[in-house]
Amino acid sequence: MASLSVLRQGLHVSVSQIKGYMRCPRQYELHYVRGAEPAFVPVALAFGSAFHAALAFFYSGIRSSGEAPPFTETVEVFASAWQAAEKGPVPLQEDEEPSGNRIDQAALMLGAFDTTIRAAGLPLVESVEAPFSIEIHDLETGEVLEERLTGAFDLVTNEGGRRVVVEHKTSARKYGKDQLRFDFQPTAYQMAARELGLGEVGLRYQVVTKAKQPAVQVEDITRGPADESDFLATAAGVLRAIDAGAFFPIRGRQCRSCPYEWACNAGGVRQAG
Amino acid sequence: MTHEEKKKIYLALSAPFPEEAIERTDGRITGRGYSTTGIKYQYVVNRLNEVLGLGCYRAHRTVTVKEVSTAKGRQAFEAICDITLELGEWIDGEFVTWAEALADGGHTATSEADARKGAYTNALKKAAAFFGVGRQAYEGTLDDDNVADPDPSEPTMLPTEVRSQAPRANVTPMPTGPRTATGARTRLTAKQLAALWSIARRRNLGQGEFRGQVKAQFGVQPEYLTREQASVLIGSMGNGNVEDDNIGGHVGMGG
Repeated sequence: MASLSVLRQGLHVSVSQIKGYMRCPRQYELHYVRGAEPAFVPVALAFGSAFHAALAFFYSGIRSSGEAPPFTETVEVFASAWQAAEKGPVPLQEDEEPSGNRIDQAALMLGAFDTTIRAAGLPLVESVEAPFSIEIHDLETGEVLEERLTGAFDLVTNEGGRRVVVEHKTSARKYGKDQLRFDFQPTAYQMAARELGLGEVGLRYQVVTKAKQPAVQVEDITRGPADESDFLATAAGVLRAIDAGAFFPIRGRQCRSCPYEWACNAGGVRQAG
Repeated sequence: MTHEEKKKIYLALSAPFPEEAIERTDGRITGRGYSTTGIKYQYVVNRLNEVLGLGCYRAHRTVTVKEVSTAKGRQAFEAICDITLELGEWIDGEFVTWAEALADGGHTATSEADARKGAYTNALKKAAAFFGVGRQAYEGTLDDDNVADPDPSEPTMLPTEVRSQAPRANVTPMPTGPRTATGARTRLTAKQLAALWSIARRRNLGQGEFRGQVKAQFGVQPEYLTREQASVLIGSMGNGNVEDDNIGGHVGMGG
């Protein structure tokens, strides 16, 4: 399988694009369609990306040596990624917390994660950040869509011969019942895993909370044919709406931290104030 | 035949039709009082032939016709066709069926032949729709009794002011927006995008540089060009002589 950056050169759609459109079609237009420059990188996004890099390092170590890397090295990977984000071409969102506090926060979270995973016994790691690109179709017409569903599994483990696709999240709080039941990201990943020949996989969330005393929530979830139909209907519907140019704004609290607010307001759709 | 093979056939049968295969009627013009959307008969037959192959389907039909009178007392014919459409193949002189669909269709016309023909095509299209043929058009209204009556003086539900303007035996396409009711997309195809990247690479344009050029010219990123825009761009970048496998041998050809 080609790298994710190569796969993304093809006409594709990702779970985060679909979710992004559903949050605010106008922001989707500015980001993906118009290619507007974001005013900043949201702190949560930069933090989550750096955390993912650290966990990828953690599991890559297990995969290559059978042992988890020292905790301090995992934290260093986070710190490097965070500092790179701070020095990136697009400034980080103004943050109430000093940069060092974010690294401290991540260290606490990684510590909780490290402890939890070691206590459960290190998994047999098959792949880390493995990219995928699969065909999806429109359930209504049977038509194979031009856009391929593209993404990457955070982690694939093997538990007694059965593969488990693991998704990592950082979150202010634990995932609730509805989020665990209805989030379509695992559904999409289940379909992708099957398409790639991984068989009927298990699905797992590993959520690390950003609390002062971080918690690690490990949840095994299931998705059935109805969930897959729902996802396909959602993906096709969003792609149809995009094709039709339905880019209306959804105003709300999220506008306060939207990196495209300047372009949204400058676009004549809505004036600031 | 395995379940997977049947699934593939279903997907092929239910694939969308081109815009020219779709017939839409305006109830004000046909005089039937309702608008319809359907697939033209020959396109349905073509689809069956192309996907299943010649001799791999057959239809049994029973047509009944009765004389009726129009509102103005003129003679007309109402035909009803019961059809059984079978999918299968001939083995040792016998047609072995693996799927069948039952449907009926009706048509009224001032000529008996037209009534029979209309009822049959109506029924066949409905039976084929059971196997997915034209489903994207029929899911709204499965009623292709959509040929304007050959006698425009007989509409029963047409307002007087419209009736006087009704053309004879013409099916007028309904206006459509950028994306048609059948789902025809305007966004470029995967092949077009691949061709654009390929040409950009050959011209030593970096991703960022190429994106910038496309944004400056069209106001959108390459992935969101329309088919027409992509076609124009491929033509202009390749000077009409692009030889690239990704383009399928034809500049601007969408997949």
